[in-house]
Amino acid sequence: MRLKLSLKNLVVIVGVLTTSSALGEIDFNRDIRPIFTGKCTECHGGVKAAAGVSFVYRDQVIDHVSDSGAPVVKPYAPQESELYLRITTEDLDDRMPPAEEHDPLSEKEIDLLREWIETGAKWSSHWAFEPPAAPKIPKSPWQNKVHNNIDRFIHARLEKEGLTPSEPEEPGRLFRRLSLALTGLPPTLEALELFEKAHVQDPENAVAQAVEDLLNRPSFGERWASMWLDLVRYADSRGLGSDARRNIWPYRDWVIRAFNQDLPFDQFTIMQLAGDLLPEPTMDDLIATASHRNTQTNDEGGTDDEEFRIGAVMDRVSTTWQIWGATTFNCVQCHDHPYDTFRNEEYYRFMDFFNNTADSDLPDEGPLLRTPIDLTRANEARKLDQEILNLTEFIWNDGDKLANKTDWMPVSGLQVQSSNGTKYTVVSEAGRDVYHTVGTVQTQTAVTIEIPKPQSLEPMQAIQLSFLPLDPETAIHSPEWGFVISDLKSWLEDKEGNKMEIQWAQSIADVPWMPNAPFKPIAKNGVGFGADSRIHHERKMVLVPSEPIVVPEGYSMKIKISCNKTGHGHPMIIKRGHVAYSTDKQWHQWLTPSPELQEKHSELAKLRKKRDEIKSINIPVMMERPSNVARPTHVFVRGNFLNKGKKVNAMLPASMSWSEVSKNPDRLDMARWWVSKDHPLTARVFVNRIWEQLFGIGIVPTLEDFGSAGEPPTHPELLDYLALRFQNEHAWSMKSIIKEIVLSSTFQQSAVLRETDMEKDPSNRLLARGPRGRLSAEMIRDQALALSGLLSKKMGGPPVRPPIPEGVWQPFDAGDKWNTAKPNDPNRYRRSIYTYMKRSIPYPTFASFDAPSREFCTPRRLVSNTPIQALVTLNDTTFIECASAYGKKIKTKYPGTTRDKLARACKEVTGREADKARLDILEELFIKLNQEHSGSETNDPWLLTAQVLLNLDETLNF
Amino acid sequence: MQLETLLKQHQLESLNRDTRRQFLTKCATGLGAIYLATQQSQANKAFSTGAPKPHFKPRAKRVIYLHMIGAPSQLELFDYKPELAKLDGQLCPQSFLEGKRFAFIQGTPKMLGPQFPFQQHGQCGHWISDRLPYLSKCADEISFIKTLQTDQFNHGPAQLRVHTGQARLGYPSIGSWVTWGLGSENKNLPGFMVLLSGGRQPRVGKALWSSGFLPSVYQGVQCRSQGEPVLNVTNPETISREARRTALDSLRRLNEQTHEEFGDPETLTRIAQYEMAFRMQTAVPDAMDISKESQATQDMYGVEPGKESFANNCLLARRLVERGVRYVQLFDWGWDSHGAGANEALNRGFIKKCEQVDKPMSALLTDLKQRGLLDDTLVVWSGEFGRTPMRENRAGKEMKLVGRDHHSVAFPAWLAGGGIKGGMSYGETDEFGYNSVINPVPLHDLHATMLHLLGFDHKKVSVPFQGLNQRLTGVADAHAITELMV
Repeated sequence: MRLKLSLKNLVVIVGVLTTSSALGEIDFNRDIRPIFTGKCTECHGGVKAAAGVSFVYRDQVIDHVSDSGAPVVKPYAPQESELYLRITTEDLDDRMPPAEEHDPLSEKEIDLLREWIETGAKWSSHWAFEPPAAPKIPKSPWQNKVHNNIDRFIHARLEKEGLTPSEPEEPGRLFRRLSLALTGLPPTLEALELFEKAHVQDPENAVAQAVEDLLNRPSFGERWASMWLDLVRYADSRGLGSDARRNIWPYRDWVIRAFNQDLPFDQFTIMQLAGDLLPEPTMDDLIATASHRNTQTNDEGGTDDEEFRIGAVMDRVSTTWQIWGATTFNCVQCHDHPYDTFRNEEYYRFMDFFNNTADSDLPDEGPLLRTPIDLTRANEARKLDQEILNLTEFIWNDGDKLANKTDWMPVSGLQVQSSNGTKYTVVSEAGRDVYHTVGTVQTQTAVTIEIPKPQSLEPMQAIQLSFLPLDPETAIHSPEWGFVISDLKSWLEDKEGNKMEIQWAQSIADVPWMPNAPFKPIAKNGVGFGADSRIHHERKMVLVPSEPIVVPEGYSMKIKISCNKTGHGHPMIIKRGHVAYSTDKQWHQWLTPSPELQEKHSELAKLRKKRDEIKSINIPVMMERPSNVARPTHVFVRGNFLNKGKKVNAMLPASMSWSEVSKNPDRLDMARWWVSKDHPLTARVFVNRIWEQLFGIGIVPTLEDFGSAGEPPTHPELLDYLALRFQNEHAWSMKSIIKEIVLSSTFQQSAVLRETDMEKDPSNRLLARGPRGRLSAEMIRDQALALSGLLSKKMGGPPVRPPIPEGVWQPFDAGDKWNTAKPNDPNRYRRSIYTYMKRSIPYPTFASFDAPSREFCTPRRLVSNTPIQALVTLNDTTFIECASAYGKKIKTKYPGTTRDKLARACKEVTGREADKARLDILEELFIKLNQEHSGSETNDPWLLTAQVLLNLDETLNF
Repeated sequence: MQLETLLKQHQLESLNRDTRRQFLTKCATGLGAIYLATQQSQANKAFSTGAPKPHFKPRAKRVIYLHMIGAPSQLELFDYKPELAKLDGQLCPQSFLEGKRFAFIQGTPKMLGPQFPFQQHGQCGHWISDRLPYLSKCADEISFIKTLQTDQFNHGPAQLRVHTGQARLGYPSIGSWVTWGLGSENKNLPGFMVLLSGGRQPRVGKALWSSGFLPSVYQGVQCRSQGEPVLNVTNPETISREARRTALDSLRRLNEQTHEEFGDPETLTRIAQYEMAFRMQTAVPDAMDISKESQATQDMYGVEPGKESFANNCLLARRLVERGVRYVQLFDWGWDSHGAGANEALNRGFIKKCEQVDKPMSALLTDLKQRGLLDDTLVVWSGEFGRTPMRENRAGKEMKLVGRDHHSVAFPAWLAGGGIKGGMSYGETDEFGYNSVINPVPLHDLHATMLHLLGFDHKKVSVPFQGLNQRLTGVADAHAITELMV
């Protein structure tokens, strides 16, 4: 009984907050869609449109003749609408929804549906997919409590619900709230008291000044970056199998910089999704693309690179939609969206935007960007990189052009030998001989191709080697394991085995940068030309001999190609290929570069040397594959990547507006689309995230779902107002929109929970009071460090390793050591955002305080309140060190009597003067501890008292 | 004690002000959370309204759930298929493959007969493979569900489906629902505790013991059988327990003032959590100290004190339920027998895994029975799905080692104690163990059964969230399997 009762009462609470359908005009989104989503779409929706009816799409409902032969809904005529007949029929076998599936519709719901049909069955898109509309600014009955329009929207709703706004927060507490909200750190006592003084003089100006100052501190970026890093699933490790270390922290530092520099959100977006495709990208444009290289990779043996590459690409799709759209687009992998207007195929069309980046789950994490450690050299390094690239392409192009216009003569009469159990056979195809493997293949295969003396009398000037997948037709969509050339030797040989070696002067690959060595056939480390790790397309390489090759009578030419690499246990060997040659004399001439080309060569060498002098770290970034080796995208049947359906091209979902986007959009167009003027989601979603960070709950409480299955906004007009302000007046400035919100009187109200609030709005969704909530994991630790004076101010750089409880660090990769920073090392006391973030072993303090382990995008942290947290802030090494240092600080730095000292400290941790009762308790505690204290290190009264202060509920909350 | 006083004070104030109904309204978010999270018995005294009335007579008071992460092969353990043996090595019939999805199987795989011999055991005649000689002796205690079905065939989502009823993150786990409904019987220990055998953590980690949208006090607390049982549970050497108590008394008084002033129910929860933390500091190490058990008991389980092992955790589970912990969740790992590596091959690692769990599982049942705890302690064993009767052929090739792929529509669980009639078997799979042909059991039916044994009608255990009345058993109908109950 008890259980039942309390549940009913929960319904009461929620009931207060849901807008009950007005008896006036029917609003489709408010009154009708929730009935469909709650009771109908499970069977008649995107997943399973039973009887050909889906309540997701208008055209499958209105005047749509279902399998029964009647229209599902005939506007103005409920009695002719199958929907209405089926929900009202007395025949229980026909009645919808079926009793075994759902509770029956309530009378009110039936009335609503009837009324809706009678009044013409007006349909509209789900609110979140309609662009925000400039709302009318409501009037507030509490004019003296209005700072800006935000308050007017909040007040209007409060008035409607019979609530009243609270009084302003005490100045000191307000300052502490602002400080934590904006910088994640508590104010210093000095700053606090200066603020209080200023506040007496001119409250409005004092707050404005304080906000301005806090927004401009470097700690602002360190606090807000955490929110973003949760979304982009930033970690210093790779996840999945071995969860090895990943160097990607320059991206984390870029996010912090972006917040601090107030990089407009539209640029922030474009840079991360497609910075590499911008014209003349800067170093930051490229670093930003590491955002989507935070996907997990799997370097475990026996894994399929293609599977995990696709996994990463699909994660980019879901994460992009989650971050910018708060849309559960991942639901569309296997079928149409169950509630929202997205088709299965549209998932794969969107996936095509990401499917052609060069990364492919390789252990080297390529493609990599050499990021200068000294950022003041970023422009210089970037310029050099671009020049090097241009020169490389220029030089490569010179050879590639010639290769393309050469009339290659296919070789017939090939004989092929294998060095091991791998078997090759030669077949004749389209007038040339093609060799390929038969049956099972082995690793470390060397194939020797014997080319008979050509009929032509002209010497051979160049050889073209072509390599293909074993099955070129299926490989184009389901790529095979590729090949990598480790060594290549060629010679002329007669029947007696007399050999004459052939010297190769140059080689040209079919792409300028993909193979490791575009100009030399074989790199020194034995990793040369190839398709690593997958082959989709035919790959070609041209070899040019130092001297034109004349094959003497009785001799043949032999080319031995060794492939020693294995990809996760799979032989990376040549499975199919053919050979052609050219007698064009231009090839030999080409070997002697023109003076112009020669100059380019020497310039390239010079630039490379110069670039090497700039100390850099390699980080994974996005880079598009050249179009001649682009990957096609197919629909995966039922989401299974092994089962390829129709081929699709990049496109945005049909149900959303994208008039400004080109007909053949690429990743850059897609990025720009998210921040285009008429995008309904992006600005709303982001201001909602900011709102949640500041108030503890979003205007749309389901930060992760703006779709039909999410909760509706508590203040839809306010959400639209803020979204439009953000895009237009604030020109996507994150600092400006944050500032506007914290300057509202709503944010600055007292957090006291009054009797009426408790009854009508216990969880403060209507904001009749100021926000109050537990600090985030990072803030809990950073605050303790800051108060105790231990916090290091150092920004950025490689991740650090503060103390960690014994036995926790047991990485799969034993080489990944946790060398705890020593007590005198500032790295022991850095801000939490710089702590080494390993996905499989999240830092225990953060995990206890609800920080995610960053495997996937985390749109919302659920706040918990557990005994484990108490144990952390009482006993964890860092917190003990903080208590000790803070105790010493109180004892030595604060003047006056013990009581005076404690009063100062209490004010410092809570932001306000301690009252007598509190001081009595603190003083009494200190005296008791001090009396019992033997003078030894044990039970230091200052440490224990400081610990109480650091563990106050007021201290742990904002 | 102080907490009790505080609670009483609040209850009195509230009762003066409100009707009980209204008071409970507030309970749902704040005070009620402590009321529910701490001990029913004490709070009930203050309420003088008697124990909560479950919907039926509860037969189980507590649960131990043994989850074999990775999904053990039913065809090598409990689902005896002599017909499958005859097909061993033959190509799989196309009818098995059409329209089916597998995690790794490609093309046409071969059928794989049972890799180990089976025998009948006990009065009931359960067929159990020779890999589990100890458990076989408890055959008459346990009852099988042979035909569990899930809709997930990847580990993470499937594990979530088992423990939260949903394949997505963010939903409360069974342990949270149960402690929410019944509270803990021990005021010094969390009501819901989680023990991992060491090795690899479950993929979705903490989400498997999350409280989802229920108050956070109901989330599971992870304990370790090596090192500090719960992180930070030990005071630093420089702080004595007495001094800590003194400090916490002041902290509590200060926080009470904060609550007076701000009225935030979370402050009360925080006070309660600090008190719980203090009590845990002695209660947890005491409960987790298996060296206090007799040598005979230790030998029966095959424990290795100071190490992380499933055996240690089984013994710990008994110690915890004995102390009134409501829900103890064990996760073992390494059961993903694909055959892609030796550790996870039926003919290699699987054998070792069976040895590791067999003796402790039977010891747990025997020990609980000897202590009279089995009657009202429900023990559940399962994986997150089953394995195919086909041999895995990753990348379409025959692999060196023997393994089976993920299979979602026919896998077993066993239940014992807590109102379960032993020696029963429910549901039947076809002659190859491929499909559930008689009485298929969706996972939600297992959940409904567990709740039923604990005294709850699963339909009535619900909480409104995101516009739905959320239940562990979801929106579609579910049925408790009363056939298996005493």
